[in-house]
Amino acid sequence: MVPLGRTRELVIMSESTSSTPLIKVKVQRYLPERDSKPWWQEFEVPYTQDTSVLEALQYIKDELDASLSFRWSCRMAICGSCGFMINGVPKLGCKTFVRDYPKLEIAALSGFPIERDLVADMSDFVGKLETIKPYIIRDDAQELESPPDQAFTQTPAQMSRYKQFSMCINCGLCYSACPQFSRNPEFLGPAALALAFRYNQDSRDQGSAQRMPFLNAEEGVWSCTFVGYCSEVCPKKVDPAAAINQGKVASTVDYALNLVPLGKNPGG
Amino acid sequence: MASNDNKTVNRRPYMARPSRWWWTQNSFYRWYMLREGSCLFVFCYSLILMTGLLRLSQGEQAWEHWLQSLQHPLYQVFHVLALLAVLYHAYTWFKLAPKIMVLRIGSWTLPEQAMILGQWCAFVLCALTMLAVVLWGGM
Repeated sequence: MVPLGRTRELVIMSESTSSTPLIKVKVQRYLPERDSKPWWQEFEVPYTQDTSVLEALQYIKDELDASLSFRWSCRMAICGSCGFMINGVPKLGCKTFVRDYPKLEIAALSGFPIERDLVADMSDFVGKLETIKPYIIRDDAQELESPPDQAFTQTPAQMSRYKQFSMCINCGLCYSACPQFSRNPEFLGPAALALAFRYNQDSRDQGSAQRMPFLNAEEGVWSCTFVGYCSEVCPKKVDPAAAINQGKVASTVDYALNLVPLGKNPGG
Repeated sequence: MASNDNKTVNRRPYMARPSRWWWTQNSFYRWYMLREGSCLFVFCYSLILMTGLLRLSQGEQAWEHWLQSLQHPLYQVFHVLALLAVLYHAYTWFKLAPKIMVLRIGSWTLPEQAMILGQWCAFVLCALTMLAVVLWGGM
């Protein structure tokens, strides 16, 4: 699980150089078998110029307290596993460097139930992503069952309409940044709504009518008050706030079209 | 399967209650609340303006009396605050508009900065026109 090479390097650094700086790291702990609520534990961790917050946590687990639990995988801001509240701001541990902080406070992502220590329960979030049907839908499902010889072609201009919104790594930082989500967990939230918008904007997709009811709902785009902090904390510059608020325009158009009998129901 | 069931039973996730002071936690939230709060000044100003229209419909004396009441220092302070609030409100919404309305012509997309600048130009043009009407319209 732990990248031994990296940790060994840190330890060697701390032993060989007496001037290796130390940083105070407060970590939120919650052990459900004995704790009724989270508490803080403080550690001192040696660091170098390239020590990430994730590596600092790995040092704690390897050298100071093996009982600490946290999620991680790729170490390069692709898997979206190591989201934490770092000094109160939702960030990826692997993409945040210890050198930028005089001291650190690391907690589980806010807005989610805490399973243990820094592990947040993301199952509700994943369920929301699934809700909005995040896949290409065609009117004729047979087309996807047995694809035609020719691929569904797309011009660069068509791709540019959704590409930005397809860069999401499902880390959940935007949900921790969203005050509307923490007040109303029923809200579909930034990532799920951005994902719905991403597929609705895809020229190959014909499933917009199936997704619009989710966008139009109270828990859909209209629960967003455009705080915009979701886009600020997004580590991949997806800008979910833009997607949601363009979704409001789409929802309004959809509502208006439903008032006019056009023969074909555009959804909602 | 049995061990899996045990894991489910032992789970005891902790859910923190959201604080009503969430908006004090960082400057981004505070600026957001200021943006939302600035609309209260817009609301109060529109009430004052509608009162003026009502007084105007009630005749010259009522209108003059309303104009006189606006000379009160509290009203003057309010109008300065309302102007600042409306300018800040406009600034925030001009900044957000390109995120909501993406203007595309073919494969070309209007840059965000160009749209923000366009809105400010329209704002200045409208303000100057209004000023011209107020200053010289009656002559």
